[in-house]
Amino acid sequence: MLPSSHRLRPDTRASTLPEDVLYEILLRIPAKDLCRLRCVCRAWRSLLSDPHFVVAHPTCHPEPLIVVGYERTRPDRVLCDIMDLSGHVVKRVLAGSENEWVMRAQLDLICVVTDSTMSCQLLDPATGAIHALPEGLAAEHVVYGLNILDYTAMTALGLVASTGEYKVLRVLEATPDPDWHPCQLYEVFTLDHGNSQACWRAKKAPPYRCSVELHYTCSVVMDGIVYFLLSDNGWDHSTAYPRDLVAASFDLETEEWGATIRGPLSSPKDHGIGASSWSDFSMAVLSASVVLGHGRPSCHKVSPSIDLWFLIDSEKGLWVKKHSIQISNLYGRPMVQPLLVLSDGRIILHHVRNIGISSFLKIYDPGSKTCMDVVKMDHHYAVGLYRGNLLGLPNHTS
Amino acid sequence: MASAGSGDEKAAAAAMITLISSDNEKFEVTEATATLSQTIRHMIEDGCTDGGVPLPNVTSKILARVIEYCKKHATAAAGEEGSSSSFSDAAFLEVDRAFLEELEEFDDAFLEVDRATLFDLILAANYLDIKGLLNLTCQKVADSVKGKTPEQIREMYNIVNDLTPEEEAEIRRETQWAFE
Repeated sequence: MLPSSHRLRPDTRASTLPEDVLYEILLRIPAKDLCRLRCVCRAWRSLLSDPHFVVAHPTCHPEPLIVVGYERTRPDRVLCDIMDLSGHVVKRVLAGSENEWVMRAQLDLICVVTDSTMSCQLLDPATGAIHALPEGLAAEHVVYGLNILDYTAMTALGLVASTGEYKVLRVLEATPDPDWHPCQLYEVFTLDHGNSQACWRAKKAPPYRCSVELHYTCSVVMDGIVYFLLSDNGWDHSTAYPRDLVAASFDLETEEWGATIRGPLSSPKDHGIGASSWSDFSMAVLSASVVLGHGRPSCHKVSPSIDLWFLIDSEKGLWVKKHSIQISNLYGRPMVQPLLVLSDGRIILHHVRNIGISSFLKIYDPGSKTCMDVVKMDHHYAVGLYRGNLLGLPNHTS
Repeated sequence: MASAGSGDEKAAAAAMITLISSDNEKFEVTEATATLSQTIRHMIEDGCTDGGVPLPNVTSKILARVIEYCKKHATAAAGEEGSSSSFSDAAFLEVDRAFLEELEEFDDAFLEVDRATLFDLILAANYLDIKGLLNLTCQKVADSVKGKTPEQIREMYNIVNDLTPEEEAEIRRETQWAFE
């Protein structure tokens, strides 16, 4: 409905749609267009900023968006792009300073690291709101005499359903190989909007004498549990394949480590030819299941492929291989991060061609068993999903 | 829809509904076609369709198009129900796909109308509560708005900008990213 003060030409009775119909139409328009259309007139602005509309809009656009975080080397200071599944950039976020980069994107928040201080913040890309994570180390970890800058870090953000709290698990790995202090440190922080004094809390190491793999594609959070791949020292290099690939779990609610989960691969023929490394594996949550992606090199004229193993029973270590996706035009082992399964069964994949240089967003159709490139990305670092609401305004807390 | 069953032609033929447009033109349609409209379905359930259903908000020109849409989609719905029992799964899927493709082509051709007609169809679909048609027509308008600037939208729909330059600047500042 257009305000009566609008002078309409006689032939434009069609433009006087009732408000409920205009609402129906606007619901079907992507967020980026709608943010612009707030400028059309007062009536449109108030409709498009109405909390009911803002909440209803994502239900008409159930397909998530993809966050592509770039390396700090990018000259145009783009921190990350949020793109649709056709590869169109819907929103571009610029870095606040030169040495910021995206560590990973989870739960619609982007974990931004500032290199010079190793400080982290969680950025809401819709509103620009920032939750800063505490600086420095947990008090218990200062005793090792190292500075935060001596560590590489990875964070995993999860929601504890019982309390509604967001918690971050941080794994720190000392850069110089240590022989007198722990190789990895584990810390937890509960996101609390009011309390700026809160600190990281030190947590015990996992009880199984292994460290966890740090790269963001090697851990995943589902239902408040962080799943990690165990790293190299759990692998037997002498046999050129992980003797028994194992995953670890950390419960964000109890803040305790769970038992290890046996991986799906246990014999050399499962692994394919040549040595495996962390980059052959990736973890994801697909169709509410923890999934292990395993890249296999080409063999006897068969293209390289990625096998997707779905964790059916974590106690028994029961995995089922539901897909084996061939990646053509490639030598060696494919490095592929599965991202999500669409409602029609197609699977969105992130295929890394050269780490930090080029990668592709692909769509795999299990019906025809074909894989199509959607878009090529340069200088990417972290890629994740975004299901948030880009209609949010800076002064609205969503 | 019980009366849409393919083997039940007698019952379907018996259940005819008369729709009367605003310019008093009468349209005879099957119940299966008419009940794609939730509004008419409720009237049938309440038993108030004897002597025809007057639709004072819909012209004969638009009603004819709406009925064309409903006939096609009612046939498709009946075809799906009927074929599921008489074909093997694979054959059924094949038929199903062909049906869907044909329906999609029909919908695309159906939308080849001027904007005034499109808006009238939206109003009719909204009044008659025909979900599929409302979705189809609203999506068509939504697609035509995508990628347009506020100026272009005002031009398309003859909307006068009643925002002050300050307000407009504020909106642009709030979501600068959407204007880049």
